[in-house]
Amino acid sequence: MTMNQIPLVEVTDLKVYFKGSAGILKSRDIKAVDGVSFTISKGETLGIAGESGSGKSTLARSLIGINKPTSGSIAINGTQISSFKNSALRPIRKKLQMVFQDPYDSLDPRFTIFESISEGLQIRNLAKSEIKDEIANLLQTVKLPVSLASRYPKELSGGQRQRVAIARALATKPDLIICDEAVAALDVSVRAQILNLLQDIQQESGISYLFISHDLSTLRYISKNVAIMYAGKIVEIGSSDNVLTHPQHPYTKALISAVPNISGKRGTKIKSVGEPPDPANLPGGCAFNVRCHDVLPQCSIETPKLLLNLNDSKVACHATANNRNSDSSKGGELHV
Amino acid sequence: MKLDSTVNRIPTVVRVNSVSVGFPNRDGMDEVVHSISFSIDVAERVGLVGESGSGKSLTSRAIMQLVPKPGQITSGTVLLEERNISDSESKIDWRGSEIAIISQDPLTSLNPLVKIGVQISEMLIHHKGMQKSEARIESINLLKSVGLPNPKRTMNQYPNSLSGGMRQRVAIAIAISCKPKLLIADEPTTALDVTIQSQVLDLIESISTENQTAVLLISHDLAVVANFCSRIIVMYDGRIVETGPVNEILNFPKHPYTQALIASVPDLFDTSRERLQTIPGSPPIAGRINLGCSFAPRCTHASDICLTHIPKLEVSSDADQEVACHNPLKRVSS
Ligand SMILES: Nc1ncnc2c1ncn2[C@@H]1O[C@H](COP(=O)(O)OP(=O)(O)OP(=O)(O)O)[C@@H](O)[C@H]1O
Ligand SMILES: Nc1ncnc2c1ncn2[C@@H]1O[C@H](COP(=O)(O)OP(=O)(O)OP(=O)(O)O)[C@@H](O)[C@H]1O
Ligand SMILES: [Mg+2]
Ligand SMILES: [Mg+2]
Repeated sequence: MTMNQIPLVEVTDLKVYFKGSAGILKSRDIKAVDGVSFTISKGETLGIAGESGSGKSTLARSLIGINKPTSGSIAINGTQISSFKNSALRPIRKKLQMVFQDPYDSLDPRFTIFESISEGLQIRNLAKSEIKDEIANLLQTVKLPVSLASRYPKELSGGQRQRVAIARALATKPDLIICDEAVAALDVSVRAQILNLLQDIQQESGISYLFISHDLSTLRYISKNVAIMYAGKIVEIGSSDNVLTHPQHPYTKALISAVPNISGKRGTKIKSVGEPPDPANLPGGCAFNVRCHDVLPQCSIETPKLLLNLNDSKVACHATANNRNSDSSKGGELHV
Repeated sequence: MKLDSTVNRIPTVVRVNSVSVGFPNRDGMDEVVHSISFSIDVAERVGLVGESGSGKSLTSRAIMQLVPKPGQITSGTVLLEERNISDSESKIDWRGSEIAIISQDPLTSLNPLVKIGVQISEMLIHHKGMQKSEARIESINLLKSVGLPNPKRTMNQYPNSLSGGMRQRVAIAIAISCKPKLLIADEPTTALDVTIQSQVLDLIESISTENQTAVLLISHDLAVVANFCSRIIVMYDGRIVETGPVNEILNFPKHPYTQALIASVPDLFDTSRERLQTIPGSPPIAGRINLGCSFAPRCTHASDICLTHIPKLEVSSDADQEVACHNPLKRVSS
């Protein structure tokens, strides 16, 4: 990161809460995103992994204005987007694209593939004939036969739908694409082709990506930096090499230890784990303390801050902060 | 087929016999699944892997007799415990209760307008004849077993207020609620982090063992298949190209496509950040009629015959492993 450059995305202490349901049950707010800060520079990729339900998609949706922030700020290219009226934001938002976790959120089921992608092309003011060529081009880039253009989303396989959603996002030539599990439905070979392609486009055009994935090797390859989320907070963030190969936070360690291995002979069974936290009723202090092996008395009282660690990662953990020199290879299991 | 009485063979739960699936086009049918045959034994866990668009989901829908319109099963039969379910009228009886499916897209299987609690209780009331109160308690237990943090609240929520992984776990809970004989799980863990994934797979495994449930697991994650399944079926362009015990196939693939697929698996701990390995060339266009093997244009082992004759799935010299290739790879010990 160059010091004096305005980051493309700057998120500061972002909170996104959902109102608890009114009903028989006590309605506590759901703190889906609870004090998240990060930046993404131009031409860079930030990867996000974390527990299911930890707020990754909510965070992503708040960047493109679907989920309204409860507090905190989001700046795109130095412009605060959380404080603007919607109409003023349109030109900025056009430069942000999102490939949704559920492809039906990206693709209108009533539109053919051709119509969906050409809608994305509209902002580029192309002539009719150019549109046709460009759509053919885009489909070829995501390794789909052009003949699919006349189909509706439901007439495609899961992975084909995902690739159409990626093609549609690329069509607008945005500054940032948020990919929420955008390659999860692809076989490893096609996934690798798409990831290589996204890398190439980044090198050529300086586009940035926010890449949400449960597949840590995908993140390792595609992203410069990686953030790990747990219960609405970033618990560890740093270069992907550091975070994924020298994890510091006990949750990150647990996550990485659970990655199944292809050469895993039968018998090396994957560990079972404890209860995930309830976002409407989080434990006090560090939300991970009830499942953590390295738990200290202060962990259930005080929320740990995200602090710079020895190896340049930031980690939110009292135990890691206390014994920075301790052996980081142990741990990595969750309480059952 | 009769069971061999002299050998104590495990009975078959589902047999797929030469099933083809096609979609009508202007002048006929585009066949996208070509005469597929395989069977699954009681309590067996089989992995179905292969290229995106190769026909895995359609095959699983063909088993359920739920090929999306205007598509249709153009030939073949499906036997559930020797019962032909391909043209039976009493589909409601076995669907959901004897064969259950977790479909690839959890939103399509959940009704967005109905609370989770109602969707899951309905299954239990309908198929298990439970009372409403009993079904409610059982539903909460099921939601808890798939690792949802607050099952009671989830009961009162609509699908759109759940995260992707939560919806996926609800779909899993519904599918296992009736303890089916065969559970088809189409990419059931793509929205789950690896720790919850292992928890859910453990759960499916224990259900499989306790209730003798067979599982057909469709997954792009070969590591998950390696850990969860005993047998694997590899598909390419609407055909089975290789099948056999999971360890054999992953360690000694015979089909060049299988080998290339395995070689594309990225390694988390690989420090050289080069380009990811891929299979060169483009995926085939489903429905197009091929003279020869549809992998031939991308295959480094292709010979003349590969361009003119479609290879049949045949038992290879190694027991239990079947491969459809004119030039199968030799087993080299590493
Ligand atoms: N519209 C909504 N109303 C109420 N709660 C919501 C809403 N959207 C999300 N939530 C809740 O916010 C939390 C975070 O959800 P989010 O979808 O951001 O998780 P995620 O990290 O993307 O998970 P996954 O990996 O499973 O997709 C969850 O507890 C979810 O139930
Ligand atoms: N309604 C339809 N009309 C025409 N073709 C279809 C239709 N539905 C599916 N297909 C085609 O059938 C082929 C097989 O689709 P299927 O969904 O079974 O693939 P898959 O192996 O499950 O792929 P993925 O891994 O991407 O989910 C694909 O090429 C797809 O485009
Ligand atoms: Mg999500
Ligand atoms: Mg599929």
